[in-house]
Amino acid sequence: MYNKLNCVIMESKSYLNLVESKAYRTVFIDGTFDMFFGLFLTGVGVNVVRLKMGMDTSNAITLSVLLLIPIFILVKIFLTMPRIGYVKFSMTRIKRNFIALVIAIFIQLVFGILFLSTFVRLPEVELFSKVINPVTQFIFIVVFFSIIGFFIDYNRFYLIGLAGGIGLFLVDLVVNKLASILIVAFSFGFTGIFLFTTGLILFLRFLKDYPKPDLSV
Amino acid sequence: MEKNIPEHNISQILEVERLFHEPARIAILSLLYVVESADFLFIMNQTGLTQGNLSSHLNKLEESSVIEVIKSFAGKRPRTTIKLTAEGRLRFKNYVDSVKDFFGSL
Repeated sequence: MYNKLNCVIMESKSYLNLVESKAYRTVFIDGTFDMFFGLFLTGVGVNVVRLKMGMDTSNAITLSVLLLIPIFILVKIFLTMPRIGYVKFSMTRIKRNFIALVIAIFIQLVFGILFLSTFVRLPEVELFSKVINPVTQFIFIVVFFSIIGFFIDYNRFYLIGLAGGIGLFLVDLVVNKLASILIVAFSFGFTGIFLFTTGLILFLRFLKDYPKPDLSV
Repeated sequence: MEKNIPEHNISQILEVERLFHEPARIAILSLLYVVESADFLFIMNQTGLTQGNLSSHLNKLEESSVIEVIKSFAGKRPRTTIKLTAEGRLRFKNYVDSVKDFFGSL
Protein backbone atom coordinates (compact mmCIF):
# COMPACT_ATOMS: atom_id res chain seq x y z
CA MET A 1 0.00 0.00 0.00
CA TYR A 2 2.61 2.53 1.01
CA ASN A 3 4.79 1.91 -2.06
CA LYS A 4 2.53 4.13 -4.10
CA LEU A 5 2.37 6.86 -1.51
CA ASN A 6 4.99 9.11 -3.03
CA CYS A 7 3.13 9.22 -6.32
CA VAL A 8 -0.27 9.96 -4.91
CA ILE A 9 0.35 12.01 -1.79
CA MET A 10 0.15 15.16 -3.89
CA GLU A 11 -3.46 14.44 -4.68
CA SER A 12 -4.24 13.76 -1.06
CA LYS A 13 -8.01 14.08 -1.34
CA SER A 14 -8.35 11.54 -4.12
CA TYR A 15 -5.74 9.35 -2.42
CA LEU A 16 -7.73 9.39 0.82
CA ASN A 17 -10.89 8.65 -1.16
CA LEU A 18 -9.15 5.63 -2.64
CA VAL A 19 -8.07 4.46 0.81
CA GLU A 20 -11.64 4.82 2.08
CA SER A 21 -13.09 3.10 -0.96
CA LYS A 22 -10.63 0.19 -0.64
CA ALA A 23 -11.47 -0.16 3.05
CA TYR A 24 -15.20 -0.05 2.31
CA ARG A 25 -14.99 -2.69 -0.41
CA THR A 26 -13.90 -5.23 2.19
CA VAL A 27 -17.63 -5.45 2.95
CA PHE A 28 -18.00 -7.38 -0.32
CA ILE A 29 -14.70 -9.26 -0.27
CA ASP A 30 -16.14 -12.49 1.16
CA GLY A 31 -18.73 -12.97 -1.59
CA THR A 32 -21.67 -13.30 0.82
CA PHE A 33 -23.45 -10.33 -0.77
CA ASP A 34 -23.20 -11.99 -4.17
CA MET A 35 -24.47 -15.31 -2.84
CA PHE A 36 -27.35 -13.59 -1.06
CA PHE A 37 -28.46 -11.53 -4.06
CA GLY A 38 -27.90 -14.49 -6.37
CA LEU A 39 -30.34 -16.56 -4.33
CA PHE A 40 -32.70 -13.61 -4.06
CA LEU A 41 -32.74 -13.09 -7.83
CA THR A 42 -33.23 -16.80 -8.47
CA GLY A 43 -36.09 -16.80 -5.96
CA VAL A 44 -37.77 -13.88 -7.73
CA GLY A 45 -37.31 -15.67 -11.06
CA VAL A 46 -38.91 -18.87 -9.75
CA ASN A 47 -41.84 -16.85 -8.43
CA VAL A 48 -42.37 -15.08 -11.77
CA VAL A 49 -42.19 -18.42 -13.64
CA ARG A 50 -44.77 -19.91 -11.25
CA LEU A 51 -46.98 -16.88 -11.83
CA LYS A 52 -46.67 -17.23 -15.60
CA MET A 53 -47.52 -20.90 -15.36
CA GLY A 54 -50.63 -20.08 -13.37
CA MET A 55 -49.26 -21.76 -10.27
CA ASP A 56 -49.63 -20.66 -6.69
CA THR A 57 -47.24 -17.79 -6.02
CA SER A 58 -47.20 -18.13 -2.29
CA ASN A 59 -44.49 -16.30 -0.47
CA ALA A 60 -42.62 -19.50 0.36
CA ILE A 61 -39.67 -18.58 -1.82
CA THR A 62 -39.54 -14.97 -0.67
CA LEU A 63 -39.76 -16.12 2.93
CA SER A 64 -37.00 -18.66 2.51
CA VAL A 65 -34.82 -15.95 0.97
CA LEU A 66 -35.64 -13.69 3.91
CA LEU A 67 -34.58 -16.50 6.22
CA LEU A 68 -31.16 -16.25 4.64
CA ILE A 69 -30.66 -12.81 6.21
CA PRO A 70 -29.84 -14.18 9.71
CA ILE A 71 -27.49 -16.74 8.11
CA PHE A 72 -25.85 -13.92 6.17
CA ILE A 73 -25.36 -11.91 9.38
CA LEU A 74 -23.99 -14.93 11.28
CA VAL A 75 -21.48 -15.65 8.51
CA LYS A 76 -20.34 -12.02 8.67
CA ILE A 77 -19.90 -12.16 12.45
CA PHE A 78 -18.32 -15.59 12.85
CA LEU A 79 -16.43 -16.12 9.60
CA THR A 80 -15.71 -12.79 7.95
CA MET A 81 -14.97 -10.43 10.82
CA PRO A 82 -12.44 -12.65 12.61
CA ARG A 83 -10.53 -12.87 9.31
CA ILE A 84 -10.51 -9.30 8.00
CA GLY A 85 -11.01 -7.42 11.22
CA TYR A 86 -13.50 -4.90 12.45
CA VAL A 87 -13.98 -1.41 11.08
CA LYS A 88 -16.42 1.34 11.85
CA PHE A 89 -16.90 3.59 8.84
CA SER A 90 -17.08 7.36 9.01
CA MET A 91 -20.31 9.31 9.23
CA THR A 92 -19.67 10.49 5.66
CA ARG A 93 -19.94 6.89 4.42
CA ILE A 94 -22.99 6.17 6.56
CA LYS A 95 -24.65 9.36 5.27
CA ARG A 96 -23.74 8.41 1.71
CA ASN A 97 -25.45 5.03 2.06
CA PHE A 98 -28.47 6.63 3.72
CA ILE A 99 -28.75 9.22 0.92
CA ALA A 100 -28.64 6.36 -1.62
CA LEU A 101 -31.54 4.68 0.09
CA VAL A 102 -33.56 7.92 0.33
CA ILE A 103 -32.97 8.80 -3.34
CA ALA A 104 -33.81 5.24 -4.46
CA ILE A 105 -37.03 5.23 -2.41
CA PHE A 106 -37.93 8.73 -3.65
CA ILE A 107 -37.49 7.70 -7.28
CA GLN A 108 -39.54 4.58 -6.68
CA LEU A 109 -42.32 6.66 -5.13
CA VAL A 110 -42.32 9.10 -8.06
CA PHE A 111 -42.42 6.22 -10.54
CA GLY A 112 -45.05 4.46 -8.47
CA ILE A 113 -47.30 7.52 -8.44
CA LEU A 114 -46.80 8.08 -12.19
CA PHE A 115 -47.44 4.40 -12.87
CA LEU A 116 -50.58 4.22 -10.75
CA SER A 117 -52.00 7.48 -12.07
CA THR A 118 -51.53 6.21 -15.63
CA PHE A 119 -53.04 2.87 -14.70
CA VAL A 120 -56.12 4.51 -13.22
CA ARG A 121 -56.66 6.66 -16.29
CA LEU A 122 -55.69 4.17 -18.98
CA PRO A 123 -56.45 0.67 -17.75
CA GLU A 124 -57.83 -0.61 -21.04
CA VAL A 125 -55.52 1.20 -23.41
CA GLU A 126 -53.28 -1.17 -25.32
CA LEU A 127 -50.46 1.33 -25.22
CA PHE A 128 -50.36 0.92 -21.46
CA SER A 129 -49.92 -2.82 -21.34
CA LYS A 130 -47.73 -2.95 -24.43
CA VAL A 131 -45.38 -0.04 -23.85
CA ILE A 132 -45.79 1.97 -20.67
CA ASN A 133 -45.99 -0.98 -18.31
CA PRO A 134 -42.83 -2.79 -19.50
CA VAL A 135 -40.83 0.44 -19.86
CA THR A 136 -41.84 1.62 -16.39
CA GLN A 137 -40.91 -1.71 -14.86
CA PHE A 138 -37.57 -1.66 -16.64
CA ILE A 139 -36.75 1.86 -15.40
CA PHE A 140 -38.04 0.95 -11.93
CA ILE A 141 -35.59 -1.89 -11.48
CA VAL A 142 -32.57 -0.45 -13.33
CA VAL A 143 -32.70 2.96 -11.65
CA PHE A 144 -33.29 1.50 -8.19
CA PHE A 145 -30.36 -0.93 -8.26
CA SER A 146 -28.04 1.45 -10.15
CA ILE A 147 -28.44 4.26 -7.65
CA ILE A 148 -27.83 2.01 -4.69
CA GLY A 149 -24.92 0.30 -6.48
CA PHE A 150 -23.33 3.65 -7.30
CA PHE A 151 -23.55 4.98 -3.77
CA ILE A 152 -22.48 1.83 -1.95
CA ASP A 153 -19.66 1.03 -4.43
CA TYR A 154 -21.10 -2.37 -5.29
CA ASN A 155 -20.75 -2.68 -9.06
CA ARG A 156 -22.63 -5.94 -9.40
CA PHE A 157 -25.86 -4.11 -8.50
CA TYR A 158 -25.79 -2.69 -12.05
CA LEU A 159 -25.86 -6.25 -13.37
CA ILE A 160 -28.68 -7.22 -11.01
CA GLY A 161 -30.67 -4.12 -12.05
CA LEU A 162 -30.08 -4.62 -15.74
CA ALA A 163 -30.85 -8.35 -15.69
CA GLY A 164 -34.01 -7.86 -13.64
CA GLY A 165 -35.10 -4.84 -15.72
CA ILE A 166 -34.61 -6.55 -19.08
CA GLY A 167 -36.36 -9.65 -17.76
CA LEU A 168 -39.45 -7.80 -16.61
CA PHE A 169 -39.45 -5.66 -19.77
CA LEU A 170 -39.36 -8.63 -22.15
CA VAL A 171 -41.78 -10.77 -20.15
CA ASP A 172 -44.49 -8.16 -20.60
CA LEU A 173 -43.82 -7.87 -24.32
CA VAL A 174 -44.03 -11.50 -25.32
CA VAL A 175 -47.36 -13.28 -25.52
CA ASN A 176 -46.01 -16.79 -25.86
CA LYS A 177 -45.96 -18.48 -22.45
CA LEU A 178 -42.94 -20.67 -23.15
CA ALA A 179 -40.97 -17.71 -24.47
CA SER A 180 -41.77 -15.62 -21.39
CA ILE A 181 -40.73 -18.47 -19.09
CA LEU A 182 -37.45 -18.81 -20.95
CA ILE A 183 -36.86 -15.06 -20.69
CA VAL A 184 -37.42 -15.12 -16.94
CA ALA A 185 -35.30 -18.22 -16.54
CA PHE A 186 -32.50 -16.53 -18.44
CA SER A 187 -32.68 -13.02 -16.99
CA PHE A 188 -33.35 -13.95 -13.37
CA GLY A 189 -32.24 -17.55 -13.12
CA PHE A 190 -29.06 -17.24 -15.14
CA THR A 191 -28.02 -13.97 -13.48
CA GLY A 192 -28.95 -15.31 -10.05
CA ILE A 193 -26.96 -18.50 -10.53
CA PHE A 194 -24.06 -16.53 -12.01
CA LEU A 195 -24.04 -14.20 -8.99
CA PHE A 196 -24.34 -17.07 -6.54
CA THR A 197 -21.49 -18.96 -8.21
CA THR A 198 -19.33 -15.82 -8.26
CA GLY A 199 -20.10 -15.33 -4.57
CA LEU A 200 -19.28 -18.92 -3.73
CA ILE A 201 -15.93 -18.72 -5.55
CA LEU A 202 -15.15 -15.43 -3.79
CA PHE A 203 -16.13 -16.97 -0.46
CA LEU A 204 -13.90 -20.03 -0.90
CA ARG A 205 -11.05 -17.83 -2.10
CA PHE A 206 -11.62 -15.54 0.87
CA LEU A 207 -11.41 -18.46 3.33
CA LYS A 208 -8.14 -19.53 1.69
CA ASP A 209 -6.59 -16.05 1.46
CA TYR A 210 -7.65 -14.90 4.90
CA PRO A 211 -7.01 -17.64 7.44
CA LYS A 212 -8.07 -16.95 11.00
CA PRO A 213 -5.04 -15.15 12.44
CA ASP A 214 -3.58 -15.77 15.85
CA LEU A 215 -2.97 -12.27 17.07
CA SER A 216 -1.27 -11.67 20.36
CA VAL A 217 -2.38 -8.05 20.68
CA MET B 1 15.33 43.88 -15.88
CA GLU B 2 14.93 41.40 -13.08
CA LYS B 3 13.21 38.15 -13.83
CA ASN B 4 10.23 37.27 -11.60
CA ILE B 5 11.27 34.04 -9.94
CA PRO B 6 8.63 32.41 -7.70
CA GLU B 7 9.93 32.17 -4.20
CA HIS B 8 10.28 28.67 -2.87
CA ASN B 9 11.21 28.18 0.74
CA ILE B 10 13.25 25.01 0.74
CA SER B 11 13.43 24.90 4.52
CA GLN B 12 9.63 24.55 4.65
CA ILE B 13 9.96 20.77 4.36
CA LEU B 14 12.06 20.68 7.52
CA GLU B 15 9.09 21.87 9.50
CA VAL B 16 6.80 18.93 8.75
CA GLU B 17 6.00 16.63 11.60
CA ARG B 18 8.74 13.99 11.62
CA LEU B 19 6.56 11.49 13.43
CA PHE B 20 4.27 11.27 10.38
CA HIS B 21 7.03 11.38 7.78
CA GLU B 22 7.37 7.63 7.46
CA PRO B 23 5.57 5.57 4.77
CA ALA B 24 4.13 2.95 7.12
CA ARG B 25 2.76 5.59 9.45
CA ILE B 26 1.31 7.57 6.54
CA ALA B 27 -0.49 4.38 5.48
CA ILE B 28 -1.84 3.76 8.99
CA LEU B 29 -2.89 7.37 9.50
CA SER B 30 -4.48 7.67 6.05
CA LEU B 31 -6.67 4.69 6.86
CA LEU B 32 -7.59 5.95 10.32
CA TYR B 33 -8.29 9.40 8.86
CA VAL B 34 -11.05 8.08 6.58
CA VAL B 35 -12.75 5.68 8.99
CA GLU B 36 -14.20 6.18 12.44
CA SER B 37 -12.13 3.38 14.01
CA ALA B 38 -10.63 0.04 13.06
CA ASP B 39 -9.18 -2.92 14.89
CA PHE B 40 -5.60 -4.12 14.73
CA LEU B 41 -6.36 -6.92 12.24
CA PHE B 42 -8.17 -4.64 9.83
CA ILE B 43 -5.30 -2.14 9.78
CA MET B 44 -2.82 -4.98 9.33
CA ASN B 45 -4.76 -6.37 6.34
CA GLN B 46 -5.25 -2.98 4.73
CA THR B 47 -1.69 -1.72 5.10
CA GLY B 48 0.10 -5.01 4.53
CA LEU B 49 2.32 -4.43 7.58
CA THR B 50 3.44 -7.29 9.79
CA GLN B 51 2.10 -7.67 13.32
CA GLY B 52 5.34 -6.55 14.98
CA ASN B 53 5.89 -3.65 12.62
CA LEU B 54 2.34 -2.36 13.01
CA SER B 55 2.49 -2.79 16.76
CA SER B 56 5.65 -0.71 17.06
CA HIS B 57 4.27 2.10 14.87
CA LEU B 58 1.03 2.13 16.82
CA ASN B 59 2.96 2.40 20.09
CA LYS B 60 4.84 5.44 18.82
CA LEU B 61 1.65 7.08 17.60
CA GLU B 62 -0.12 6.34 20.87
CA GLU B 63 2.73 7.80 22.93
CA SER B 64 2.38 11.02 20.93
CA SER B 65 -1.39 11.14 21.54
CA VAL B 66 -2.09 10.86 17.81
CA ILE B 67 -4.16 7.72 18.21
CA GLU B 68 -6.24 6.18 20.93
CA VAL B 69 -6.01 2.44 21.56
CA ILE B 70 -9.09 0.89 23.12
CA LYS B 71 -8.86 -2.64 24.50
CA SER B 72 -12.15 -4.47 24.76
CA PHE B 73 -13.75 -7.88 24.32
CA ALA B 74 -15.93 -9.09 21.45
CA GLY B 75 -17.54 -12.06 23.15
CA LYS B 76 -14.61 -13.94 24.62
CA ARG B 77 -12.07 -12.61 22.15
CA PRO B 78 -10.01 -9.53 22.98
CA ARG B 79 -10.29 -6.70 20.50
CA THR B 80 -7.92 -3.76 20.07
CA THR B 81 -9.68 -0.84 18.45
CA ILE B 82 -7.69 2.11 17.20
CA LYS B 83 -8.93 5.57 16.36
CA LEU B 84 -7.40 8.96 15.63
CA THR B 85 -7.68 11.47 18.42
CA ALA B 86 -9.07 14.91 17.55
CA GLU B 87 -5.58 16.30 17.99
CA GLY B 88 -4.09 13.53 15.82
CA ARG B 89 -6.62 14.21 13.08
CA LEU B 90 -5.72 17.89 13.03
CA ARG B 91 -1.99 17.20 13.11
CA PHE B 92 -2.22 14.72 10.25
CA LYS B 93 -4.27 17.17 8.18
CA ASN B 94 -1.66 19.86 8.80
CA TYR B 95 1.08 17.43 7.79
CA VAL B 96 -0.69 16.52 4.53
CA ASP B 97 -1.30 20.20 3.76
CA SER B 98 2.36 21.07 4.43
CA VAL B 99 3.68 18.29 2.20
CA LYS B 100 1.18 19.19 -0.50
CA ASP B 101 2.15 22.86 -0.32
CA PHE B 102 5.83 22.06 -0.48
CA PHE B 103 5.69 19.70 -3.45
CA GLY B 104 3.00 21.73 -5.14
CA SER B 105 5.25 24.76 -5.25
CA LEU B 106 8.28 22.86 -6.56
